[in-house]
Amino acid sequence: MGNFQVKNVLVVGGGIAGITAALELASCGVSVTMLEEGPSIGGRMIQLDKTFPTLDCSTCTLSPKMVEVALNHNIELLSWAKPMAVKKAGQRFQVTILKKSRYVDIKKCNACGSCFPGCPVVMKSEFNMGTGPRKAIYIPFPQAIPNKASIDKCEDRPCKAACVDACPIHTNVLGYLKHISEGRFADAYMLIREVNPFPSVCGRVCDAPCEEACSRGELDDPMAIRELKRFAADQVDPATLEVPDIQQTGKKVAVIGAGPSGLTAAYELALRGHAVTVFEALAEAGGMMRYGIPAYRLPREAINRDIAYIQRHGVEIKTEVRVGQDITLAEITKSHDATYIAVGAHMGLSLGMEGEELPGVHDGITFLRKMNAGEPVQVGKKVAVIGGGNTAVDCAQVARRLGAETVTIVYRRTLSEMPASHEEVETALKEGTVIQFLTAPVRVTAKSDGFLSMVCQKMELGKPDLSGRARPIPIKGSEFTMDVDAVISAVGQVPDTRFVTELGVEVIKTGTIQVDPATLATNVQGIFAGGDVVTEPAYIIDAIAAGRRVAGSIDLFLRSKMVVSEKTWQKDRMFWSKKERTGEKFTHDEVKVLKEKYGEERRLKPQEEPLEERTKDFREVVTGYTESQARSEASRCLAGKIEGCIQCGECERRCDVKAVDYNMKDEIVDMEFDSIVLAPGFDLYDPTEKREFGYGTLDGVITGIEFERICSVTGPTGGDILLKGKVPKRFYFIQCVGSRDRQSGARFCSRVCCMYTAKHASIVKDRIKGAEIYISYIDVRAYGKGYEEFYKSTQESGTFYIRGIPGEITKGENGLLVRVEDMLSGEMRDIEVDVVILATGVRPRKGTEELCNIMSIERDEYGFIRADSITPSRTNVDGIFVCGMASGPKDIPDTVASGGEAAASCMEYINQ
Amino acid sequence: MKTGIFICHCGHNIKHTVNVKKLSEYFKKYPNVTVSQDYVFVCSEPGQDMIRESIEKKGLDRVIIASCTPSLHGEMFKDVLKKSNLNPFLLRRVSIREHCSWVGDDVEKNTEKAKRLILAGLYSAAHYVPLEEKRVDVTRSALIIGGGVSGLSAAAFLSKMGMQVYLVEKEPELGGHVRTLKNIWPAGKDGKSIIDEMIEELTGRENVEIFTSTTISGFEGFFGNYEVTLDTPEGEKKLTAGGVIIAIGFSPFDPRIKPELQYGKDDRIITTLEFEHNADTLQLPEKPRVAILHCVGSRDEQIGKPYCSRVCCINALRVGEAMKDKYKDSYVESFYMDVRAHPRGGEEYFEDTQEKGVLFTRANVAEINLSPTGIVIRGEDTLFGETFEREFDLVVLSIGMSPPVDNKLIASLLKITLDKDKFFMEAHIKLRPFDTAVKGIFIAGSCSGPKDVEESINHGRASAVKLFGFLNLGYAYVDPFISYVDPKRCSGCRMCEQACVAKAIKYDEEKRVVHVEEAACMGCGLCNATCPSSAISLKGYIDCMIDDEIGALLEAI
Repeated sequence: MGNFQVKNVLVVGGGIAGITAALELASCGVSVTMLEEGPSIGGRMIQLDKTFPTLDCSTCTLSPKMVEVALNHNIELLSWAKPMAVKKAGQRFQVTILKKSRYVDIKKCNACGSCFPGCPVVMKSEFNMGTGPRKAIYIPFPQAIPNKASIDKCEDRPCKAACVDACPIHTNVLGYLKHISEGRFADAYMLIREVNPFPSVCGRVCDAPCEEACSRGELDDPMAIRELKRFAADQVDPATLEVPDIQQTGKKVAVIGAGPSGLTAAYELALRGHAVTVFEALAEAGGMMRYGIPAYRLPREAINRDIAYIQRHGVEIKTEVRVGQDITLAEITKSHDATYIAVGAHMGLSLGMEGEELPGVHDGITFLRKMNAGEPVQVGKKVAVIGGGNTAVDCAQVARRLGAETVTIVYRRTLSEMPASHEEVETALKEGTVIQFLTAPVRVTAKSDGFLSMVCQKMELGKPDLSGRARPIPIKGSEFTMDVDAVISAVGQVPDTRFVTELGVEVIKTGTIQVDPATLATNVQGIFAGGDVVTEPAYIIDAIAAGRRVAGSIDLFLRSKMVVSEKTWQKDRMFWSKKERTGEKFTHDEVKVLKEKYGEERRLKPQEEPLEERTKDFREVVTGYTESQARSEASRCLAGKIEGCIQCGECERRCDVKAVDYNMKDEIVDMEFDSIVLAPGFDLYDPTEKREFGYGTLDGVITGIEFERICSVTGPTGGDILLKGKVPKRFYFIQCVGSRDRQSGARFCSRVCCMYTAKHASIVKDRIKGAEIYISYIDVRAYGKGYEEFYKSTQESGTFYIRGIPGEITKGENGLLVRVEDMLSGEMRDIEVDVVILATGVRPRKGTEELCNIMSIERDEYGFIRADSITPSRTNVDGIFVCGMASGPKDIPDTVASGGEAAASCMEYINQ
Repeated sequence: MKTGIFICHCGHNIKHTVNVKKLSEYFKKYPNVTVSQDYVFVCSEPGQDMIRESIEKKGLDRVIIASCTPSLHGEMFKDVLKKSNLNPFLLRRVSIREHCSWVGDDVEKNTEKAKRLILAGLYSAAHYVPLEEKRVDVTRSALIIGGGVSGLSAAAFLSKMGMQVYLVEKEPELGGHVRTLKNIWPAGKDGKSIIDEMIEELTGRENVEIFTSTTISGFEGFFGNYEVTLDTPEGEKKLTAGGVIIAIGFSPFDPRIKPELQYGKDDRIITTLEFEHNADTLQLPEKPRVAILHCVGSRDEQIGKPYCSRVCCINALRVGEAMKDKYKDSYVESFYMDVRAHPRGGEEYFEDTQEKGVLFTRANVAEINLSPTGIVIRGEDTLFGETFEREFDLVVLSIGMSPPVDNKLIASLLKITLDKDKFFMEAHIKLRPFDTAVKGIFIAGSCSGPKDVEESINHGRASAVKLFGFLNLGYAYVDPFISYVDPKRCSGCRMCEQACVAKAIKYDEEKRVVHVEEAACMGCGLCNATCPSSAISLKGYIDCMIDDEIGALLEAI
């Protein structure tokens, strides 16, 4: 029998007024579009802990109404939306609506909450009135409607985050730098740990392709990313971390080789519930980290710490088991569901030079292994090192620490071709190592005095060879001789893969194993390989990347017997391809703008041990940043300079349903409505300008709505009344702050503060035994139903009502000193309390003016929307109605009635 | 029976502290369980598809979803069943999030608890039968009791929207108290003109019937079709109304209840209402001394009026202002406890009145004595702590609002409740301030507690729009969870009739058994619990269902 055609009404504001109006209109068959400027409806009421006078939980009473809005077929709810322009055409309204992007696909997000913990951007929660934090991706409170995450993205990131792309495991560099810059070191550590089980190791010896790519480097210096990782790793002892409870799958995986790749794979597989056994040929786990890198660069504790944590996940490491010797590969594959070969490349390449077999001529990698294993190694006073890689530089520095007085590196190309990290070369030079460039050894001979004589040849550079570097060409007749005690040859390593042939695993000439680059599967089903054994010597981070990749691939294989690349991997760059590591560069103009905006800040150098001291033993050379240095270095990061979301991709990575979309754009839509109901609500007076109360300057002076959030279970303390972690005992409430007050421009009474103060007092009485409560008032306006009785009972329960508003609040000996003239006794009193709560008055909602301007709506002297008492929802524009606090202070029942009344007026208008 | 159990991980929310895999494995072995599955988000699109597919391919006839609280996604999961042609009332929701995973951290205990909760659901669902929501026809008409500003606003709205309106007023004239007021603050309008405008809107509308000098003598029926008997000057009249708005206003407080005020003994002591009516005819000296007493009949526990009457402070201000305006040299003193000038513009008005020279003394008035030269007020100034005694030519008592005289009569006829102050009681003081516990019966204006004109208008129109929403379509759906009577077991003791708050139980004199008016039943189950012969059951919540559920929870089965 409904005799109305469907009409469309726009309701602006999703507080209790707007909700009431919308629900009433919807129940009358009207199609309602509700605009909410923020992430959720619920308005101010949902921020309240309880409501007076019944002390009902606010959420419990309101959230069913909010759910009703969400479920009602006649209501379309647009959050993050507001009207931009309104034009009246005849009796109808053309409205331009701005739908701000939430950067999360509302259709996909299911509010699982996986994204928040990872987000490194901590902001003040508006819902909690700044009393607590929230992340840049957030749902303001658990009962939010729509219950969807939003990203607070204020601006685009100035840099390209090339660091994340450059990192083979895509470490969230932006994220952990942000954490460090704001002092959240443990959070930074956990973020690193998400992808990297070796933070302590990589914080010291990573080749840090991220730094090479860092955009900050285009302005002044790249970020000290590795050093900051080390700082974070030094702050947390993984022994204190809890190991998650993992459901076991019952599958068994063997890992051959306890180096970075093998252990990473073992760790990742253990996290996925598989039982992992690692077979290690040497005496201790760690591979090249332990046996290739000397302790002055990577202290043993750093390795031990990271490995111990992996073992706590149930990973079993069997040391001194050499596969092919102590056990065959076939035996392993038989007793395991999958096998990962990550034996590294531990065989030093021979130069093929005459005299290589002489005593006193060492192979670099063996030399390092012996030294690191604690075996006695002697080098004498004069040492020559052959090669230009990190191993060569390490050998040189080790030789010095073993007592060598002269250490010469012989390298056949020039400094710019040296594969060793420049930093290491620089350190070596500083420590006194000499490098003979464009020099190649020809032969070594033993001399009668026990010295070795090494004949070298000078070189010149020719055309580039296969590696892209200039080919060194010997200069005829340039031979010369060096007399040395020892020669260490470090010209490369190859893997020893002889043991795999028994099962027919495909190996190429150099000894490296052939795999599918996406899955790391070998030609034999169930056998995978990765790390140096596949790539030839690369960096630790590449080995870790291989471990992570193979873990995913083995897991898939174990679950489905499939060896297919997951789609995400296909998109991934291959982990060993170095070419793509450099991201896009800034243009010249961009650099100029950024330099102007952010100024110059040079990279901070970490402390080092004094040069003379450190070469005497194997102490760690770099001692790292102090806390303040770390924070200041981390704050140089361009991404961290922006407000809100830094688009680090952490939430995107964690979202199972792929709802995050950083590129989402704001939308502007034009819609037509038959009528408009305005319910923008209210704000609370900011009492900062009332200096006498010390809000913002004195600790412990807060506003009523802040106190409301502190009391609330959804608040920052989970409902415990705590201030700076302590339970306050003495409370002073001051009423009429910013109401009935010409100074603050508000002569009006805010109607709700007397009662919410009484409510606060009764909450305190209820929750804090023996609390002392004072309330300063002018008149107690307990006018509503049940209010007077509530006020009386608050008074009778031992709350002291003092007529008179305090003149000033100062810092006392043990708290805040409130000086007040009690008008009833005429006495001046000084009362010391722990917390002062200001019952701040009501103000029109920020944005009401703009809203009124676009609709030509008149406002009163205080900025509330003008309405009269006989037609309470009618504005000066026919067809636009107002309800709730927007037209002046109201308590909740009055607001509900006014929402209903606005719906009635709206119905009359659209059906005339 | 083929039951499908779907256990949600809710991301980490449930999975984190409940071993969902173990649960889904556990229930696979239960007889009658065809499908037992866990899934990361049952509410997601693929989750819903999974349920639909199971229903269609495995022929499920019961669906148990163990996930969040039933109020969340309730309608959505019902829709999933509907789309697979399964009756939506064969769905059972089990809350293993709010009731379980969010409560404790102990995985083992939580898993055990979740197991029992699901088991309880399984046992309960075994008794489920398909149910249908019932469509009932409703009459598109409203009965409005009370022709004051609130009732008139409601009538104006409903009649404008094309609804049949019956407006009943006890007095010969419409308009209530507002009609008698000369100046409505803050509108600045004459009360009569406001009322006249409202009446004019009603006159000539075919769908409005106004009954003055009329009372309600009979009230029967249920939501959508209330049968009303009116006692009109022309005799009895019967009509049917889909819903009712009660707007019978208030009674002014009678100060004679407080003899110390000497009201009625001297015509120089008057109420604010009398002042309003007779301000022009008062005989006063040139420089009159006027006292205004606040809170007469309000905030006074001794006389059973503990509440604030909300409007009297403003009324008192208006007396003060009027006296000052008329007699520039008058001495006007207001005796108050707190000045509650809370309405919009009220505080400014209070300040203006002070500026005009009205004195405000925070005081307890102890007694009033009559003397030939004037009226002597004795009391204590609570700000200075001094006693005072002052003589006045006129004392105006700012009287409060008392409940309407017909409150008890209407409450008993319509079966609605009064609060402790004898005003009508609302369904929820905050969010349903004009609803009663009975569907389709509203209370508007000051009959539920003191209100000013604006608030009364808001109430009248807000309850009207709500009633319109209820009745507009001409039909309404009622939940299938209603009581039904087994006439063979009913002994006709009629205890259920007493228990029923919705007046849904009817006694058949002839057959000597009761039956349930389905449209009226709210499904509260009170009758079910009351019946000594177990003759009444509540659909969807039959006894054996609940017994089995408890049994499963306690592992007694």
